[in-house]
Amino acid sequence: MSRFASMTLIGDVLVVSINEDLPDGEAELLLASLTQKVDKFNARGVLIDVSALDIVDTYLGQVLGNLAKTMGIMGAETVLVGMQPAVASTLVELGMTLPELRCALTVTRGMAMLKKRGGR
Amino acid sequence: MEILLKTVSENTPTLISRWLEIQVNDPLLRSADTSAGELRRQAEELLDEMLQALESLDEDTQTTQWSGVRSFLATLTKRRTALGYSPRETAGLVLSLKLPLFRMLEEKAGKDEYEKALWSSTRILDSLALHVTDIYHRDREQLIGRQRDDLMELSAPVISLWDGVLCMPLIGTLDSTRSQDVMESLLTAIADKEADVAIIDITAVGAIDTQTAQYLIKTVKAARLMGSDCIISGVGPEIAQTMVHLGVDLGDIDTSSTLSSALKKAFRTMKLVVTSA
Repeated sequence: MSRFASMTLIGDVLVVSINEDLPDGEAELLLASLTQKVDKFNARGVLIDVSALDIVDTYLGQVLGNLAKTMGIMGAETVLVGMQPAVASTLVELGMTLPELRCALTVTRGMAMLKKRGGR
Repeated sequence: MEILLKTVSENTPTLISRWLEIQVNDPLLRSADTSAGELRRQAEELLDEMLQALESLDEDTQTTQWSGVRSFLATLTKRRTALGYSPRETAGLVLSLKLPLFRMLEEKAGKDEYEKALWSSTRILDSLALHVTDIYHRDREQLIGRQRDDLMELSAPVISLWDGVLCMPLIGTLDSTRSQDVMESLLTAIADKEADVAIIDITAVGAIDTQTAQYLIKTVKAARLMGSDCIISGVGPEIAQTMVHLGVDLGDIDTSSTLSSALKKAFRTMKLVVTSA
């Protein structure tokens, strides 16, 4: 388990909290361990909490986008929650609007969003 | 410098009366608007401060020895600016000391000393006059800054229309600095209030250009990244036509012509139904 991110399984949703700004290599590791966990627990949804992030770059933006695509292929839905205003405007300035990602304001709302889509 | 100090300190009353005479006779200084007593008091006080500074024998008016003169001039400039005097008139007041001072130096000093003293006093008085214009400009800059802040606050308020629905009515024209502020304050408000829907109302925006449109699009996309839906309302016929002419691609951004239809859309998103009682 990386010290940069923590994962918890709540119901059939894997909750990933990114605790601090990820160094480049860590993001790849996170993606690898996440796909394994989703497979292992047969998770239906992945909720990524980025509220602790206050710096973002194109690389992390790409990782988040790739993550959502990978999860989609594996049949899990990804919701990104708690993005800070400054991070959101930076991502848009960088031209990364992450259309493949669904976003929610808070963890509670993100969970509700996943639940609504659920039913397997 | 010594001769300058000596001349001024030994002949202060004469210097003041000659200086006042010049001030009164120069129409450009608008001395008539100030009472004779006040003019005398100003001249005495300024010369007194200058004498104290001259005792340091330092020509550089930016040093601490001259701080008394500088603060006196600052107060004087601010007071006179409030009364409608131009910086030229206040700086002119300082510069009008040149003539009586030079004449007096000519009378009292030897030829070698005279030239040196002339140069010192010119440097000092010019620098003080420039200080007056500096103060004036700084004062104006502060005023403009304050007004800009006020305008900024007035022009982009975030209103809570409903639980979870925010509205930001934009008024006037949007330049890039303002657009940046608008974007920031809307995104912060979305985070603070956990708003599901944010409506940007551009009814009162007179004209729109490509850059402004881009900023609006960016704001909507950033709000979406935070998990909030954003609607642009008040897109009138003219603005709609301009957008098409400019080739602005709004993509899948929600727009509506009036604020009320945007609110209806917001209710629909939140699955709220309005019924009559």
